[in-house]
Amino acid sequence: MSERKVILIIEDQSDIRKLIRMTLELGDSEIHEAENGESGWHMVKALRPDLVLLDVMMPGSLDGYQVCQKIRQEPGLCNIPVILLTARGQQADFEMGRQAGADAYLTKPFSPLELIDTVDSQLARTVGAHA
Amino acid sequence: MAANLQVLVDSLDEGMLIVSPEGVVRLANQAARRFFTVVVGKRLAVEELMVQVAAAVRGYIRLPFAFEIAGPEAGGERDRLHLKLMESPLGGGYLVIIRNISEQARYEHIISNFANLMTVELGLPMTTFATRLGRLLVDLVPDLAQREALGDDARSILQQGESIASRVTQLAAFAQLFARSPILASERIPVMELVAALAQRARPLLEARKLKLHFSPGMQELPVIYGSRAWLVEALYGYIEYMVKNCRLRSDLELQIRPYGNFISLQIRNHGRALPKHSASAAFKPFTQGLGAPGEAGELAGLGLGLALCKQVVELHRGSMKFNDEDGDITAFVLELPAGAPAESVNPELGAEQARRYAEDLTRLMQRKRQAKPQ
Repeated sequence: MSERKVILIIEDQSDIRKLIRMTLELGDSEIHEAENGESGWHMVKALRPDLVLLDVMMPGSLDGYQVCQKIRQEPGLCNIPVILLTARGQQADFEMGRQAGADAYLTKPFSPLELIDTVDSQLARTVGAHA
Repeated sequence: MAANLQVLVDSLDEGMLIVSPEGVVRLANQAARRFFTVVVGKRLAVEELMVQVAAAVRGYIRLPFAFEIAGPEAGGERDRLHLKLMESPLGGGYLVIIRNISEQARYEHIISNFANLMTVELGLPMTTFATRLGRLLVDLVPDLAQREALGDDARSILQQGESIASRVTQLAAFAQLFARSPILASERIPVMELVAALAQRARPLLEARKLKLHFSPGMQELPVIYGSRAWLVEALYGYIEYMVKNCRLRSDLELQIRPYGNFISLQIRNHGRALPKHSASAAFKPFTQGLGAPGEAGELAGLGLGLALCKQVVELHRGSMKFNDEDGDITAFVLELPAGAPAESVNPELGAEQARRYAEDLTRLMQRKRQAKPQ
């Protein structure tokens, strides 16, 4: 039996968080939520999740790109897959996400199938890397 | 009544009356005489005011008491007057302060009409207009070396051209903002980038006054701002220009930026003439000049739009700007901008589209889930 995967959703919009939780709970994952970049960053350090779904545009002192950079700079956390969520989806935004160290990008509005496929492929990649 | 007291009250812009409990006028200044027919020693024939004086005598109203009445008819129109009734500090009775609030409303209408006119005449967004003006100046004199080679007259004309271009850009910005055009851009702006753009734009202004701009330490660690880069640079330039013009020649300006909760606080402190507290709110009104320090010969006066524009742009970015009266001998305004993206920044249409995408794919998702279940 495979171990339950811990997924952290960092997103300021409560409706989007609920949709993502509902979708990912169809699988066998343990879901945690944070509503802004600062609390999200604290939860990443405390939980050491298997994957982070991270909104780009959030109010407060850390936006998604900055949280992603912090994860990549922290030994012990730097290999956690990060999927960025954004309403923008322009080429410059993809490039900024890549520079910040994101593994994948979902543009809002995204489909639940797209979400599950992206999450699964990122989790499989880390399993493969650790095998 | 002492003659010097009459001189004093006559110097006031607002109307001032002292009446006895019976409504007999004891003192009236010139401004009050413009509003009402007043004879000292006679009962004032302004019934709406007399009703309130009688109410104050009987204790029906608590003083000070403010109310509005219609002013005398002039040219077929009646202005609205704001009256404040209070106990007189001079020999009993009641003091009445009278202000014409229609004048303020007219001023606001004029500003609004002017802004609309500018918007229609220009027919261009501020940013496009400013870019075109900037390009024109660069075409005329492409680089600094060429500028240095110019004669005094040519350099002076160029400097004035830049000054005029800056003012026209300010007017265009003013028109666009005060005609209620929204700022739609939500660019991601690291504060350091904003400061660098601002420093570059303000360099000629600082050099002309031989001023130095110092930056507070630790700015690399600051959060990002979401908004319009062009508008924020324009707004902060207006702020810095105001502070420069009120700064002594060859002195220092200090730019302090620090995080403050979920905001970024920005303050430019100069060492010029301190702005009196009572003038601070007027400084934010369009076309209001600062105190001004002596500038270089040939320097054009400003339009008095810098701080008004800055405040408007900052407020459109959900920030605030206020006068900091804690600094006694220097002028300081504090500007706060929200850190990160605006709360609930995703628009409702996107939320509806997201819900539609989910509804469409939910059936397929459930089918896939059923198929994946072990039999």
